[in-house]
Amino acid sequence: MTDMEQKDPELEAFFEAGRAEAPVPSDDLIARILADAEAAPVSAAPTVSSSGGVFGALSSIWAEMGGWKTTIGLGFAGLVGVYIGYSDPTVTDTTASLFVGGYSYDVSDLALTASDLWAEG
Amino acid sequence: MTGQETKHVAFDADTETSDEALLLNFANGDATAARLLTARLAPRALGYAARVLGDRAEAEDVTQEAMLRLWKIAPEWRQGEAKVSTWLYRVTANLCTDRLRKRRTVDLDAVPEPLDDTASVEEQMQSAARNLALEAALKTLPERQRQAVVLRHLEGLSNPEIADVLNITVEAVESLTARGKRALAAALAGRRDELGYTDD
Repeated sequence: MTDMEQKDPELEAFFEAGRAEAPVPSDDLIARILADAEAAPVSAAPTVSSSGGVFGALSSIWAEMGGWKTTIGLGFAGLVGVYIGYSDPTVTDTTASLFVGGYSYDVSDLALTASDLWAEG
Repeated sequence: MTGQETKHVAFDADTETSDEALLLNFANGDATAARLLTARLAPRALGYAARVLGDRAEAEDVTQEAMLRLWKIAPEWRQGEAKVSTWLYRVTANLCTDRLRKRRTVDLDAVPEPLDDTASVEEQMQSAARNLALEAALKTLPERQRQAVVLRHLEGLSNPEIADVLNITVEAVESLTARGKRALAAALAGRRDELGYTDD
């Protein structure tokens, strides 16, 4: 509790008594609770215990992202990106030609010119 | 404290392990973890429910139900998202609210009177008498004020924790506890001399 708030000493005496006289669970209640615990389902696969903190947070994020399957996919995509970025452009063109049947295209080939539009009306 | 009560406390000799770690151990089949968690958390749930409901039997039922929900959620517990004790207080608060609503709709006469005959108060220990007076005064508070005051001043939770339990803002908690304390002070004003406060 913070001490920022004003404490009423008279009221505090009642709270102190309330804390001192807090109810204690009976043996019967404890037995009922433990019987419930015994009957409760437990996980089939052991849950990894951790101290929480950074590791726990990272585990949660990793799990939210989809686990190992997503990680492998992202890793592969990253490697392809690095390959494209560092490879010689002619090699990239060669690779691209594998997908376009050996024809050579330029970006300008894909763009319509004003004359094309005019011709089409 | 009776011998049996001492035994319950002795269950919790292991104070190093966090509630969350114990819950994970329980989920992995560790029965000792269930006993330790019960020793730690059941008194807190019971204390809160008893103060809010003002009925010991109902408070025990609520405590058992709240702990049962804890056992059931253990295998799916998401680490680091919430404190186990805060989660349990929240479940207990919701169960208490449900019971209080049923009381209002089913039978208003069934609500216990704030304080029965006080002829024996002078014969009791001062602390016990003050506690009885406090419990009676708590029953006169609106439900949300009572919950906030009990969590703050009897269970010792911080305002942000109470906000989490009651699903309200910290400012709302401050307002509820401030109004609750004023109402309690008014309710207890006439009983301070009677309860020997001036002898302190």
